[in-house]
Amino acid sequence: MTTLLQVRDIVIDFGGLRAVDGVSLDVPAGPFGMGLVGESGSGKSTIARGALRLLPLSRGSVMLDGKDVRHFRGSDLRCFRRSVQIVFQDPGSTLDPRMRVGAAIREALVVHRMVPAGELESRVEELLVEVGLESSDGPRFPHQLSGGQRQRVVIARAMAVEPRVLVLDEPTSALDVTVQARILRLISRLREEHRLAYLLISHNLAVVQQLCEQMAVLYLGKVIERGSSRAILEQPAHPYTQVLRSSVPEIDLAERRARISVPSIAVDAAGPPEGCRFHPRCPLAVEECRRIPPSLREIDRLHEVACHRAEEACERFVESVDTAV
Amino acid sequence: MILEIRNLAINFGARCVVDIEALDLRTGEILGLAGESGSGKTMTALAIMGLTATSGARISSGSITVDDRELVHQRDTDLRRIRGSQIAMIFQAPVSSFNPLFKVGYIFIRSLRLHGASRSEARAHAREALEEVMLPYDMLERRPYELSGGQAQRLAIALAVALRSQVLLADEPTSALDVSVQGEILDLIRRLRDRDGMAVLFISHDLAVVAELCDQVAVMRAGRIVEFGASSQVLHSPTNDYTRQLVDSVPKLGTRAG
Amino acid sequence: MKAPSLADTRTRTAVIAVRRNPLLSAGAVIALALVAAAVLAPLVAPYPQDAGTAMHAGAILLAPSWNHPFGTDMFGRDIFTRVLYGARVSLGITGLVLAISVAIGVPLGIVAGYFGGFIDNVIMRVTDVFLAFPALLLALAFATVLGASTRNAVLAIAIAWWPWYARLARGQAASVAGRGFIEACRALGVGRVRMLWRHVLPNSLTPLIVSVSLDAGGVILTAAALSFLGLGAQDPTPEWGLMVSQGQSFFTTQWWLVTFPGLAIMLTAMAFNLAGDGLREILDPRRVVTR
Repeated sequence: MTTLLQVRDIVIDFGGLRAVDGVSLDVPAGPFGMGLVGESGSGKSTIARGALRLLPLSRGSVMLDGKDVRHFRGSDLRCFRRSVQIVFQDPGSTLDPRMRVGAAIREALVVHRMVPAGELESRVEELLVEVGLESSDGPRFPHQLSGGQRQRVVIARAMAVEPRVLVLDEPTSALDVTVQARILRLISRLREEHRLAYLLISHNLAVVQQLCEQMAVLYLGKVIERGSSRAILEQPAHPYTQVLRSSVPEIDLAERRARISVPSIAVDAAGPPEGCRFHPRCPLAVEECRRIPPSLREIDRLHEVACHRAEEACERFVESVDTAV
Repeated sequence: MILEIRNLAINFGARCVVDIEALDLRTGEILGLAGESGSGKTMTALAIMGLTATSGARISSGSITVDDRELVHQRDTDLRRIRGSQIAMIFQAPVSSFNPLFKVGYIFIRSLRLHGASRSEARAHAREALEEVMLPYDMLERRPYELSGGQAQRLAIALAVALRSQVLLADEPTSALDVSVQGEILDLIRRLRDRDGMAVLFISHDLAVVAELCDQVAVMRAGRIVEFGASSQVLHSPTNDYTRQLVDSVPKLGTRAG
Repeated sequence: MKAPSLADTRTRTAVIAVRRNPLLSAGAVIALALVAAAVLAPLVAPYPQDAGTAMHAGAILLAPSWNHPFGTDMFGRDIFTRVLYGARVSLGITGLVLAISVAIGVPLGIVAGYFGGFIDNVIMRVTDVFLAFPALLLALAFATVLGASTRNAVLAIAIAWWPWYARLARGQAASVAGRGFIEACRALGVGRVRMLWRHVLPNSLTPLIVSVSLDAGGVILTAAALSFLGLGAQDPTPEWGLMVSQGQSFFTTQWWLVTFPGLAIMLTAMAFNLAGDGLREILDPRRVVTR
């Protein structure tokens, strides 16, 4: 599997804090889905912006096709922007409120000279239809569309430049559940039809499982677990992942499990704790956890975890499932 | 039966946004009001609080009784006594529910005093309530923007507890919170119901949360209740097409995932 | 069904807005009447020659009557005619002043607000120097230096006025620069020039347009003040402020020399203020009615 987008040990300082502290990710060529899961303060959105060069990296590199994108200028930079696109969380603020949606899509085509001038209108119509909108929606303004429709426009605009990697930052969190399902289906379809690779950022584990073969779990700016989505969600190895997994509410009674609760801690402005970042809240923390930050190690095939006590954590998790409600 | 809604019709201009024939809430019950945006669930809660005017809507007919006391078309001065003390409401963005100019303690104690407590009584109630929601007493010294979402929501719930509210209207209280924090808030609501017999009307678009927390659920669509019953029943074997569509749309985690 | 054009929907919103708010309607009507007066003056005025250097010794200082609705001045010129022609002068001065100030101030402000940093600092410090003085004072100073004439009055006021638009535009641009769609456009690869012209400027316009229309009143007052002090328009130009100045000494006995031009100034300033408010409502695309 050739790696299309490589994020290597990136460190991003943002708002006086080290939001991302040494994160590495590989997104192979499509069709492929890589999930990035984390709660607020985990740095997931910051990583997305860093990968797209919307935020400066303090350290580390982002590589596309093996070339460091940091020094791209001019046409190289434009090429990069074409190859890697992003869909943000809130479609309401992602679109220029004074620009008709058709014009917004056309802008994408014009900036990257995707089609000759004469074909612009027809291409815009094609794109609108491809994402499930009507061509008559083109002259509308964003505020005249629903949230789901707006997000489709954003996706159409991103797809207009035929990217190879699509970063989706909580693309459905702001939408109703039925709309969410439809947008996720759209993303799935685009993935197949365009052999798209995407980095899907979400706090919703079910969405990540549905759309991504692999995933990484973030906590306070570091990757604490990484690997195959199915493996991680069936058998989370890191205590934090276990908390997340057990906190997901389920409609299906059979899938319910006892919630693993850990004390909540306000984010400390002074910086993250020494040693393992999760240790102040971890039920399994020992002296080693307080002093030595764990690094990612393989615990199973396609399953890495950064925890000194992952094996014990796994045992505990299995027990909790067995005694679940 | 602590809360009864009968034939409630709420209009926004000429448009009918809520049309509920009947809805009941018992003491010690957690009733879920589920639906998508525009279904009228928030408007229903606002109607109970007598706050529909703030969004420009009007209750055109019907009755809402809390503890056998009619609420519709009451004078604001009377409603103010009920708001907070008998019926409390918590919102989706908990930090914004507090005036950023003041310390949360000031708002807290003042609210208690507005409902008749003396200064020392207010402080005592506040202390008890904060203990109940597991927040340290010195949290009252902070300003709203210094609180995390979870802390602010707990504080809002603490206020309801301190005021000895019988009914808690929770409008998407966990939608803006992280999933781990959400779990804590849900546990807290359950505890309040168990310990104090608080009746909760839980509004949410997240069916999974409703399934886990609520005893009964009413599914709303376009202002009407399309299905009602025990949550285990309604969400597992929905009889209504719309409910089924909603349930199917929820992405599910499962050990047997594809 | 094809969606209605922005022009259609804006017209409809305008009509609805005007109908809903009588005060705004009044302002809009008066403002339009003034513009009409300015345009149609040569056709409507009873004594067009009185707008210039005319002299009717036999008709000096006549009180308002059928022949002369506003009376005549110390040269026997019909004041009604001069007030009508004065609309031309005032609106002309105002239009030019606003056009020049906007042309200088807005681009500078937008660039400063969007890019921030060093550019912002430089531009804003220059702006600060101008803003340290009250606009009228600055205009007076420049008018004195440049010499008294209508043309110089325009320049003087414009020089005093542009910093306000620069500051306003800068604030708007800075706020727009932080909004989500700007970041989304950057991610799309939109270049700087296009970003400023197609995204930042249009989204910064609404408060600017409102400000400009509200300022029209202020400019008219400033121009009148300059002329009143002898630093602006000179006789025989029928500028309202000048007319008030010329009529000062006759105020107690021949009140009409001062009153009618004065009323014209007041009405015009008020009308533009009211119309400016209404314009803001109409211009927000979020308020565009589609059905």
